[in-house]
Amino acid sequence: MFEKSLTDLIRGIRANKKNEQKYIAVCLQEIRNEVKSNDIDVKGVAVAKLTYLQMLGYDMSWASFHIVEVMSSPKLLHKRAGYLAATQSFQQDTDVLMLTTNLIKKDLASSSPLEIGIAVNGLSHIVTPDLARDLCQDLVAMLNHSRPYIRKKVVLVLYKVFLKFPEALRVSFPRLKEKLEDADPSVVSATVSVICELARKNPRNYLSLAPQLFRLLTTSANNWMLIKIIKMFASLTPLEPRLVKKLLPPLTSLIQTTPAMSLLYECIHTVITGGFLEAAGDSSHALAATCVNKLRRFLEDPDQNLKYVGLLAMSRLLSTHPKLIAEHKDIILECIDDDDFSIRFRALDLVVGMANKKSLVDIVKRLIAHLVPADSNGASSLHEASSVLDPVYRTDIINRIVFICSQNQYRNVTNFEWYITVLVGLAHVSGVSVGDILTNQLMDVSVRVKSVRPFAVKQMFRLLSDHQLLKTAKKRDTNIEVLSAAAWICGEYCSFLDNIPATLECLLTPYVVDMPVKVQAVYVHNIIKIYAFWANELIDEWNTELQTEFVKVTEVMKDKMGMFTRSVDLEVQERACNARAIFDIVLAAISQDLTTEHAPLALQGLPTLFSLYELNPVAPKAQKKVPVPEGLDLDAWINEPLPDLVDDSESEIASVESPVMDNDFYRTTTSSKKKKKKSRSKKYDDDSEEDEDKERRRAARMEALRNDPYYIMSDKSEKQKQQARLLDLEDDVDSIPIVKLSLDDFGMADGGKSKKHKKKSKGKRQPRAPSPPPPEYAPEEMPEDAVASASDQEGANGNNNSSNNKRKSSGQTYSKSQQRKDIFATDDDGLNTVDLSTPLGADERLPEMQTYLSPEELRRREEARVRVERRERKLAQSASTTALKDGGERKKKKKRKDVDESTKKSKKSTTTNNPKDKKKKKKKSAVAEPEHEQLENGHTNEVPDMPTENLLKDQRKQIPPELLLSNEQIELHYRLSLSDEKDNGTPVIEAKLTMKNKSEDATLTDLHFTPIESFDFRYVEDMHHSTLASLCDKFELESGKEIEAVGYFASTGDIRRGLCLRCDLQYDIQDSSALNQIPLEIKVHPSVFLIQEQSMDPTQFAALLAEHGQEFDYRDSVAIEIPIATETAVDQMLIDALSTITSTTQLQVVEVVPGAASLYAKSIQGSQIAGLLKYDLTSQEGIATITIDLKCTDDGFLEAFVDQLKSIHF
Amino acid sequence: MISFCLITNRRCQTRFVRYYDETPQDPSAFELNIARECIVRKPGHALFVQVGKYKVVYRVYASLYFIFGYERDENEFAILELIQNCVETMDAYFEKVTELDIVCNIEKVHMIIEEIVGKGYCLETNQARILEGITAL
Repeated sequence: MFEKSLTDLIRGIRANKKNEQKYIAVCLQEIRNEVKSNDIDVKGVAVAKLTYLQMLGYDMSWASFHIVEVMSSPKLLHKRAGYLAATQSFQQDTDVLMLTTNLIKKDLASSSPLEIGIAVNGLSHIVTPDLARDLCQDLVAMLNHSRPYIRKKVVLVLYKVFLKFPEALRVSFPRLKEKLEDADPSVVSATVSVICELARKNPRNYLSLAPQLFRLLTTSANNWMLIKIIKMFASLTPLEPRLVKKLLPPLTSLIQTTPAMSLLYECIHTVITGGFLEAAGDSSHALAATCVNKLRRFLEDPDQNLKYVGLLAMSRLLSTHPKLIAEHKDIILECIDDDDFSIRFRALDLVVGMANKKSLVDIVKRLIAHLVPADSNGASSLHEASSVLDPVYRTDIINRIVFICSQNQYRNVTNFEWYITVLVGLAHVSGVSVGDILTNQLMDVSVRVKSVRPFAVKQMFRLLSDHQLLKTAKKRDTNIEVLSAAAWICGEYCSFLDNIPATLECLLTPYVVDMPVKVQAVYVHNIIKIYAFWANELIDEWNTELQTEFVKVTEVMKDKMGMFTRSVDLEVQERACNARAIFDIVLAAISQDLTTEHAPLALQGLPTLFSLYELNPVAPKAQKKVPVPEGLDLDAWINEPLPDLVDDSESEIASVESPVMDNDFYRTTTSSKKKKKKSRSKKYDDDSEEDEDKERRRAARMEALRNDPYYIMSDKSEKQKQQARLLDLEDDVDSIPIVKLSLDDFGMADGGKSKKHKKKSKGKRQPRAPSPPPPEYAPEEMPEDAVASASDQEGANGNNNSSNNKRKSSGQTYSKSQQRKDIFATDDDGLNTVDLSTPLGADERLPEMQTYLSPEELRRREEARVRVERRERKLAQSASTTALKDGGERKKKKKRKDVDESTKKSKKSTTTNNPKDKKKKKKKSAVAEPEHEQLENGHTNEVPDMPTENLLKDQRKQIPPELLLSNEQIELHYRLSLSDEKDNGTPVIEAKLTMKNKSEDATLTDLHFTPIESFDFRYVEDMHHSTLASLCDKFELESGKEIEAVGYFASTGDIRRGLCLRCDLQYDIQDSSALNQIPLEIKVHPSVFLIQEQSMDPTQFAALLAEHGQEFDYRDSVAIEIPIATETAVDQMLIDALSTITSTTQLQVVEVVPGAASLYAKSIQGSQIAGLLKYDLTSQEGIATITIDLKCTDDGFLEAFVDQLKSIHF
Repeated sequence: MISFCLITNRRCQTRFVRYYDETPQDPSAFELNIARECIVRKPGHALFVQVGKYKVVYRVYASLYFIFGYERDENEFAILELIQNCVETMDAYFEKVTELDIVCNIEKVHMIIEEIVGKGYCLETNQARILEGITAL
């Protein structure tokens, strides 16, 4: 009554600004109580409030069940709130979603379009694979709803359904396609959206829609839709290049005429990305120029939005038409300085691709300007992290600078001293963490470019001595790692150092301990390097004064090295200890050596420790040129391969392929050795070598095959054939072209930035403009014995290939578009695999839900099915002379003979050995087909002998009591039947037990039963038979006497196979002390539960199946073999069999047609079972087989029933 | 496909949010992040921002930011127009829409946006037809 409404809640929250949390907590508690209320209004409001709080960030997953309750409310307002809450809070794994299937189904079938709309909307958010499967049938049907409001929503929800249940796409696609022609524009628009989305996943399927879409493109005026259509064409054109020609006129006219910027942009975008430029042929350049000019107008526009998209589109064009973009460098560079970051980033993307030798310096200068706060220009201020600029942004800029400069092996850098300066400058940028990349760059450049080394060393010394940089060591974002490059460069190229003691001092500064251990380790090592070099230099001018100085310095160094030996890092510690040991040796040597004229010998040995040879980058072809050591056979197995269990051909190729590659390499070296002698005949040499090789490999393979237990090499000829085949294969394998990938294959998009791999090709460096002093590069390293060979060219390619791969993996940062494409590829695999190009098969249908199908539809289907079944049955008998119309006659006859039959019924049912000789003869002669047919004919014509429904129904015989127990003293019989009464609604079984004292004279006393309660049965104590004693009473049984007792058991469980009533029987035998306790198990067959309602007539039966046929979805079939007794007529025997079956199973015979009978029964629990009984006399001599096909509404029931049928013996 | 619609005010308080694709792990933090990216932008800046994997298109109306996000395959201008359309429709429905209208009639806002951006697609742009269903309620 006094609950808050949603508005109250919102007002309350606004009124309690100070302690909002507390207020909401109180409200949440109220809501928790309210959702449990029985009043749906209260519940609905509570859920609505909860939804609002969810928006504010409060959890509402606990209320999912209540949400479902509200969803099922008949009031539209609550239903809405419920669905809204569901869409906001349900996840795919919310368990209550299972409960919603029927609810949504019902709402979809609602008469109110608003209700349908709510349900459809809700469904689109919460659809799960299960919901999708169960509801797609309904949804597809709703595509033809009379209201466009519903149609358009259904179209959209179908897309979600397809995502979850891709099978539905194929079947419903034709219907969806029709919606493109819908009269309502918004339905068409929705359809286009959905198809566009689908086409993005697998465009091939939608090529056939091109004409329709094209028509829409030229006729529609809805810009939103046009954009979608154009987008869709962009994904179709790569598959069907002819479309381009068709599309160009409308697109160009749109470009020129449309006033809508969005559409204009979309057209240009599509022209660029849809492959129009490539396909346009001669006019391609003009077209591209038109686009770029339009884009330039975008960039010039004061509207930032236009600038943004203009840059975006240009970046797409960059890879194909870099020149056209470069023409607009001026305006793009302006955009870099735009104070809008969105625009900046787009411009930066472009700039990275635009840089060339001429523009590089300018671009980098502009970029660096972004790293420095605008108001300051002194180096000192660089160390305060700028609050204006985001560190992420600055990191990005630095990465871009490094990328621009290092791309394509520093192709664009003409002045490496400038580059070193830039890198050093970048190291001073504070608040970013780019030390690693700068370290790599510095080391790479100074190793590669010999001429820059003196300059680099100077700069590095300045870095080392920069106290302000050192002070940043403890900060979180720091470039301190750069110092490791600085230390390394100073150490490696220490000959360029101006002031060695000063450098050493810098390296031993106490700040060092704050640095990362990686840097410290480099420091220690390079201290020794520099020290060694210095000592070596001093040797020449050695004198006493120098010696004292030297000893002093060494001692100081040794002392300072102490701080490294205390490092927690093992690497640093170890190196420092090594260094100290070296200092010790040096000091010891000097102190021993009393002559101060010459430097001690120990000093002279020092430099050889470090600078034996110059470190150079490894040449790109070096790997190829490593000679194969003599006696090493690269083709020989290291370990004999295990017999390959995988597909032979595959493994063969694999095993051959690697030798081919190796061979390539092997050949160049061995043959080149020979080449010295006879270079002319090199070609021949190669060939013979190759042949030899082939031969050897073939032999090896044959050997391998012989060892292969899965490879049969049977006889000679076979073997030869095989060998011949192998030879072919061999040739094939060897002739498989190995594609050499080149740089072009990877395109420009993924240029790498990792430069630390030293074996990068330098040969490809373009000739530089001579203006700055041309950098001198370090000589490249080659392996010893390497020989120049003709395959160098090839080698270069190979290297390219590998370095490209490397770059591809390391240069991900700048290939965003590619990454995104990967994401496209992985999502919604199911939909991608759906093939729409093949026509629908007859068997392809949407899965059907059993419930809620219209009765008419069901009846129609069932009738059709029955018709088909009948026809089949008839066809089986068609060999006989009885035609279809006979069936009709037969029926009539049957009715006529009803009276006769009823008179015969007692005879038939009670006696089974009433011989009918007239059939026996026939049976005896029945050997082959014709006779059998005759028999069948005879049988069908002998209508009087066929039991009819009436006959059988009436004479359901009472099942004789079954024997339960028989021992020396007692014999127990039981009979189960369904009691007329129920116990609290559960069916009750009446178990009638007959006890008989078998013993001669002993009286059984204290005889009683103890029912054992189980999950399935419960003994009902308060039910008593009117005349007979209760089971739990105590009895006294005199010799030869018989007593009947009745027990009532409520059946609480489901009917299933192996159902048992259990009780213990206890009795004493008079004058005996033996304790007799016997556990009893009474099998309960499902037939007990069948109720004998009024008889079912065939029309009723057909109607039932037609209406509820779908409920009978459990099927099974039992075959019962009946030995054909010679003295019984076959049909009599069949009649008897049928009667036995019906009496044991309590099935009603609904209808008997020649050769078959339909059966039906219903259990008290409501399970229904329908059967079709057929017989077959032909399969086995002397045995008739009765097949009963059963359909049932309940699984367990059917199983139990089948079990019972199987237990019938004849 | 549009991934989310978000309406916040200058203080980054979420006034309306609807996810069409997937709901992020922590919606509140996500919304805050998106809103922050937008409110720091000055008037005259482009109305497109890239936030994480989303391309975000926003428009400012008085104190309210209408923010639409998508991952790919949408036309920036079309989204801008769509936002305009949303706002105009709300304006028509609430007769001069204010932040308070949106706060107090969150359900109605849900309905309106649902009609316009059904399941992440531009569904209906005709104002009369959008409001047809809501006024009938």
